[in-house]
Amino acid sequence: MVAIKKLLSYIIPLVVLVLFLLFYYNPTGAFESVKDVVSDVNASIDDLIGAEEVTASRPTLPPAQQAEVDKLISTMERMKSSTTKFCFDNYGGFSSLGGTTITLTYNEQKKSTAIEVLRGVGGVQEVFYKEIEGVKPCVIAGSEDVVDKFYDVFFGEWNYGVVRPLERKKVYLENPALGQYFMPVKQIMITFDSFQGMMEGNIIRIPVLPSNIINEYENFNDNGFLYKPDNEHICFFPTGDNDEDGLDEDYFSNNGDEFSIPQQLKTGKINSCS
Amino acid sequence: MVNKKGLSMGFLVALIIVILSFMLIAGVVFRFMSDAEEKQAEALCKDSVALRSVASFKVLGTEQKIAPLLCQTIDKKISGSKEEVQQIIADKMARCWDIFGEGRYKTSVFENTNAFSGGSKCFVCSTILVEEDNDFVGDGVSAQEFKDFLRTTDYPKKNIKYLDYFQYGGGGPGYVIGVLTNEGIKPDRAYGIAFKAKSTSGVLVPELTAGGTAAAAIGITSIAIFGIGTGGLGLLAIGAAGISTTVSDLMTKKVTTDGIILVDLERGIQKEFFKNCNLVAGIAGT
Repeated sequence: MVAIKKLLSYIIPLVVLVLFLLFYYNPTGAFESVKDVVSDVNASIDDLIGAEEVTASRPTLPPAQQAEVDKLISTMERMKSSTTKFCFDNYGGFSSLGGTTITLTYNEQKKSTAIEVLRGVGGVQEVFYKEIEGVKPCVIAGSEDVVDKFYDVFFGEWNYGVVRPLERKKVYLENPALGQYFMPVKQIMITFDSFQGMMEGNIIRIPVLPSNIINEYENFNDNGFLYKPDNEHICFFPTGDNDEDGLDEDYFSNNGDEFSIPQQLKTGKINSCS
Repeated sequence: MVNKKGLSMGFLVALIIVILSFMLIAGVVFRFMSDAEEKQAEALCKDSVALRSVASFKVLGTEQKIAPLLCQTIDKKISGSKEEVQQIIADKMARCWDIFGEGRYKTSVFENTNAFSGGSKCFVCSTILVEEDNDFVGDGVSAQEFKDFLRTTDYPKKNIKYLDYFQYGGGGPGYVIGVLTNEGIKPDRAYGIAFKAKSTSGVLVPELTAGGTAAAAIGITSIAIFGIGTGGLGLLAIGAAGISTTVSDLMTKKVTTDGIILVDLERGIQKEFFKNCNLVAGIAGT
């Protein structure tokens, strides 16, 4: 009798333990349910506690913009290598730059122009960098005198129907002592801006100049043209009202006007660098 | 019989040796302690930033931070050749970036809540005085030179270029800016290294543009940073006439990314810079 009692006192707890384990640990048992509840609680806590984090990857340019920047660089290098003087070339221009800023900066020590492109988060990350040796940036703008002289050289022939002698061209082109018809600059900045949702477009700025010069919105309608006045400078064309802000954009358009740069290149009146 | 002269001479020599040894050891110990102090302060700051972020919680969709920041500005004197000075400054900038989370946190580390929009705040991690050194030859390190250094030199702790580390290599997005004069980095000048937190877009208050209309996106236009004698847009040198335009362009545009700024502590620049960037005080009240 005592033996049976002892046996029962061992067996019953054993059976209870086995049942408990089966109940808890079987694939559809309570343990799995507890796990689900705990992981749900975990996930909720994660949502509630701890600061959210962000991740980053290497900032890049959109492929289309990268292609435009590459074209600008290859055009400038081609112009640098060209033996033709007083010539024009075309890099294709920039589509709407959006959050991208392109700067060209001349480094006196290295005798090269660095092209740096900012974009990325907030538009302040450097996404591209390249140096072009032996090239100095310039603009056909910055002072009324510069723009007037350039105008006289390349468009003066059509001015008010007065035909200007060809010798006048040669005077400015080949006698720098008479005054510059282009303005060398240390830095050029090209980006996009808008004014209260209107007047949206690419802009060009020259940081070394006073803030009231070359400061208009949508003032970079150059249709992709560049000018090479000598063996080291390559000039950009800010557009304005034939004043210190630059030439009128009509001189760069493809409207077929006889005096426009595209038309003059077609008829051979002005030189192409390529 | 005791030789008294010999005794006193021997004693004197021993005394001199003890004093010289003490001075040598004290110098090493104090130098170690001062380095240790600096590292301790940096570790405390970094831990407080991490704790503040880990211990933040959300209430009704807005994030609340309650743990305080325990940071202080560290003053440091450095010297060496041009390369050594650039290396030290770059390392301090990287350390500052590391301390404040490497741009990984979605909201500003300085704001207690993201319920309301706020301008960006800055904290000066360290001020550095570059001392004279015979090895520092020639003109100062120009802004362009230093930018080239960051672009081409590896940050040893992460095995990527410094510039890449600031922009994405730490895990989060970021940028680096320099506000230097045309003289660049040179002896007998002081520089500040500041962490600039992202502008906060308020969850409860929509972000407004300067034109007054709600913006669907922030930071859609590049910052127009101008400089005279500029060595590069990202790292720029500014002349006296360009200070206000340059610094306020940088500071007043809404930038939704954390950044590291190296600023020349020349009085005019310092005044403009800290006028436009809300300075967060350290635990030492600095």
